Amino acid sequence: MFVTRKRFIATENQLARCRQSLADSHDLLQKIQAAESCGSGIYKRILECREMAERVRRLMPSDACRDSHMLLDHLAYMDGWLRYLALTLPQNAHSHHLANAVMDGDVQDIYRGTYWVTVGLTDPAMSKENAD
Amino acid sequence: MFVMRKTHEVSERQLHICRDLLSHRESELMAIRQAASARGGVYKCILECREVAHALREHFPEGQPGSCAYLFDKLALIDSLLNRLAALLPPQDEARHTARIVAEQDAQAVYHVDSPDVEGGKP
Repeated sequence: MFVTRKRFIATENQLARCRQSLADSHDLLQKIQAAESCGSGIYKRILECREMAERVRRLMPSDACRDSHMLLDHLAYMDGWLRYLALTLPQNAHSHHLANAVMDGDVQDIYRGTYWVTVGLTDPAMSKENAD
Repeated sequence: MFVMRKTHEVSERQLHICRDLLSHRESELMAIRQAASARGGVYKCILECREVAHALREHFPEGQPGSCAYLFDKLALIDSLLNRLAALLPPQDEARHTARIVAEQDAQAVYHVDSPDVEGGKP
């Protein structure tokens, strides 16, 4: 029928600490979400990477152009990195259609011929060691 | 000296629920941290972004900055997003050097364009 007050207080202390940790992690997640969604969000930035790739091809039309290839490779890297991160972030209603547009995009075609598209842009197994 | 068992059980149930929620939340944050540190991490991605800007500046040195003003604008937005995220996700030991390089650079100068983009407006 009864437990000792000491035991009860220990449980209450654990509960208070757990609630504080939960509040802290919730706060951090909210801040990450706010940072991500500022300025139309991460998916918009990924789509812009692809628009930049198209523009780079227009500005430097020759596929043989070394600079063009290097720029596209950087953009492919950024696209893949952002996409990998975006998959872990909480989505909101506004980002849903942009997320679909990103996932529907043909990155193999957009970044054709680049290193980062050939190794697999969203392959989680791609470690930072491999990237360096 | 004693408390009703029922009162204690309520606290224990709340503790159990709280721990479950915390575990779920920590998993979410862990996934974000792992993704943000993958492939060289967020700072490497910022450097990639700035390298694109440097390369564009070299390719279009003078007289034609307007032709790629759109690109500088979009790169600055990505850089800004990455910096906001980096501020919330402290660099791991191996990324500290890259973080220092990023911090030492003048991001505004990297993406600065003198003349507005006339033909390459926003989509």
